[in-house]
Amino acid sequence: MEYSKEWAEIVELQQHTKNLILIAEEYDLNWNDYLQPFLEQRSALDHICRTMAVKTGINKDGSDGEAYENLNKAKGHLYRAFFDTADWLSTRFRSLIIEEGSSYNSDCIKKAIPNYYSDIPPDIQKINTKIADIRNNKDIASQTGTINQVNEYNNLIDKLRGYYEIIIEAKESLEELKNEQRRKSWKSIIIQIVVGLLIAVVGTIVGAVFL
Amino acid sequence: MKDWKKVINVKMPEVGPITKKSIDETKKNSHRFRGSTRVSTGRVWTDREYEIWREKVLNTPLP
Repeated sequence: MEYSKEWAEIVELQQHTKNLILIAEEYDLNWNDYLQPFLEQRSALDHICRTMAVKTGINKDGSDGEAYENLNKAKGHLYRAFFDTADWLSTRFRSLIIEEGSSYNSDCIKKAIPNYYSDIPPDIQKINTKIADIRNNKDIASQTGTINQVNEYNNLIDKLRGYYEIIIEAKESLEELKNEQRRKSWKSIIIQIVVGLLIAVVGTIVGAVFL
Repeated sequence: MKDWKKVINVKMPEVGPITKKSIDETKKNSHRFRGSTRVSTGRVWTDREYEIWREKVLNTPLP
C-alpha cells in the first residue's frame, strides 16, 4: 500500500488519542469535554480527504507531492490532538493528586506511602514539564521519532494514573493516621489544660495559705 | 452544491475560540443538530476556563 508507513502512524495516533479521550472524559472535573483535540482531528480528516481525492482520481489536478504533503499535515494535526489530550489528562491527574493528598500532612503521607516524597512529586513535575514542552512545540509533524514520544508520554500518563491510584489505595491508612494525630493532639491539649488548672489551683492554695 | 469538487483544497472554516457565548448558542440550538450529548448540554471547557484551571493546577504545589 502506498504511504503505508504514514497510514500506520495515523492509525496508531488516532487510537492513542481516542484511548486518552475516553479516560479523560471519565476523570474530568465536571465531566466536560475539551474540544481542542476534536478540532485537530477535524482538520486532520480534511487533509486525509485531500490526499484521498488525489489518490482516487477525484482531484485530477492534484499531484503525488500534494497528496503526500496533505498526509503529513494530517499527521501534524493528529499529533497535536494527542498532545492536547495528554495535557488535559495529565493536568487532571495532577489536580486529583492535589485534591486527594492535600488534606493530609507530610507525616501521614510519609507513613502511609513511604516512597512518596522521594519518587512521586519529582516524577510528576518532570512529566508535566515534558508534556508542556511538547505541547508548545508547533513543528510536531516535522520532528522525527515523534511516535516514540507518543509511546513515552502514554507511559508517563499511565504512571500519573498509577500515582493517583496509590493515593486512593492509601486513603484508609491516611485517614487512620490523621485521626490518630487528631486524637494525640486533643490528648495533649487536654493534658495542658489539666496541668494549667492544677497549677492555678495549687497557686491559689499556696497564695491563700502563705500570703 | 454540484461544485463540491471545487472545495477539495479549500481550508475548513476556523471554529475560533470556544467561549461562554458559543457554548450558550450551541445549547440553545442543540435541538437542530445531532451529535455529542456533552457538547449539546454545554459540558465543554471554554478556552479561557481551561487555561485558568490548567495554570492553577500546574502552579499548585503537590502535597
